[in-house]
Amino acid sequence: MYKTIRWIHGQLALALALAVLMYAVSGWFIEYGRLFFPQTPTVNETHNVAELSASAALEDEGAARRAAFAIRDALDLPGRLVEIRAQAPGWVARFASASQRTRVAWSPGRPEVRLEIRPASFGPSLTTLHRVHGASGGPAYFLFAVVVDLVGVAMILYAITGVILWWKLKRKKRLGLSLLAASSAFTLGWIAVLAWGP
Amino acid sequence: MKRRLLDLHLYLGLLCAPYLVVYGVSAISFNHDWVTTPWTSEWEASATGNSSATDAEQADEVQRALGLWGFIPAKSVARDEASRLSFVVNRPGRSYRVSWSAQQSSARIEETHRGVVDVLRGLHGLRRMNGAPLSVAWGLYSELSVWVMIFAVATGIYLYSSRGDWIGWSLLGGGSAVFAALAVAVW
Repeated sequence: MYKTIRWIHGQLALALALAVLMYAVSGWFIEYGRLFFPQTPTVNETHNVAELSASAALEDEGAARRAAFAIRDALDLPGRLVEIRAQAPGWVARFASASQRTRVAWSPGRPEVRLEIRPASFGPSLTTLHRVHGASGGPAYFLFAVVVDLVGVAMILYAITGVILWWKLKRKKRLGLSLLAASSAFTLGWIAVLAWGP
Repeated sequence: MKRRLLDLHLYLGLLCAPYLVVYGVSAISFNHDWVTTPWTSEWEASATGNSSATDAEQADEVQRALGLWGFIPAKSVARDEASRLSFVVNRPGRSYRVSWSAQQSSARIEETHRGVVDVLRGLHGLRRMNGAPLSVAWGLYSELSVWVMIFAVATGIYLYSSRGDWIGWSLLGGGSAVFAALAVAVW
């Protein structure tokens, strides 16, 4: 039993070591990254996309969505579609990857596309990677979402198997019990206060 | 040396184990957009504010007077035609929509509860909350847990290295390669 739990704890930690490290470092960057990484300026561009000459009327969201994907493919924009909405005189779509957010605006029946590109340097890109979730957006995003789930489950298992391993390894348990009791009481206390408190 | 590292790995792990559970559950909930059905209640309370201050400053003052914890999104601060100041206060698990009248020195509060899952989502990375000075303690615990995670990964690999077999090294190499490839794909 002990060997099985040690095996699960160890192998799971090794398989997800880089992912856990990325989440820890980028979590720290979310709080302090702005101290190290200045904001990158926004770039505005205008392009002609021939596929748009027969694009959607304002009320046709399905066709607008197809037009947005045609623009993405024609201009090789990175990321997945995170928003699309009608905004007179045309449509606005947003594509987001970890390293770039792009606002795309176009009018039905016209080939011009206006881009507002917000590239990000390494630190902010890492913090965006930290926030990537959900399976929509293609196979890469689906697989990334699977990894996010695995990391989530692994975190819970690290805690449970870690406690069991400590219990089996240490004959003197006072210090460990004190730490575990204090941190559990602190965490459960915060959850209870925020959920049911004033 | 190894014994001391193992002890540190174990005891720091015990200290941060509850945070790991919060982190794990909330990460899965973000990934699947778990949303619980909210329920609301309404109440009124008296609250005075400084009428010469800006709307944002008044909102802060009314929040303090009402004893509400959380953050006021700047975009939520507005005045209606009857000159009532309205704003939203968000905190893990709950939000408040406040409508305050300076003349009557009273506020109407619509309180929306979002349940325990939303509390866990809110605690994921929470550093502090306005109106709740003790929330800094949770921020420090989050900070400590981040460093412990980095330490645990490093010491875990080091401790494994003395008795490592090919399965573990393959998992470390393969898992890292797969994750790096996926990160590049969504970069």
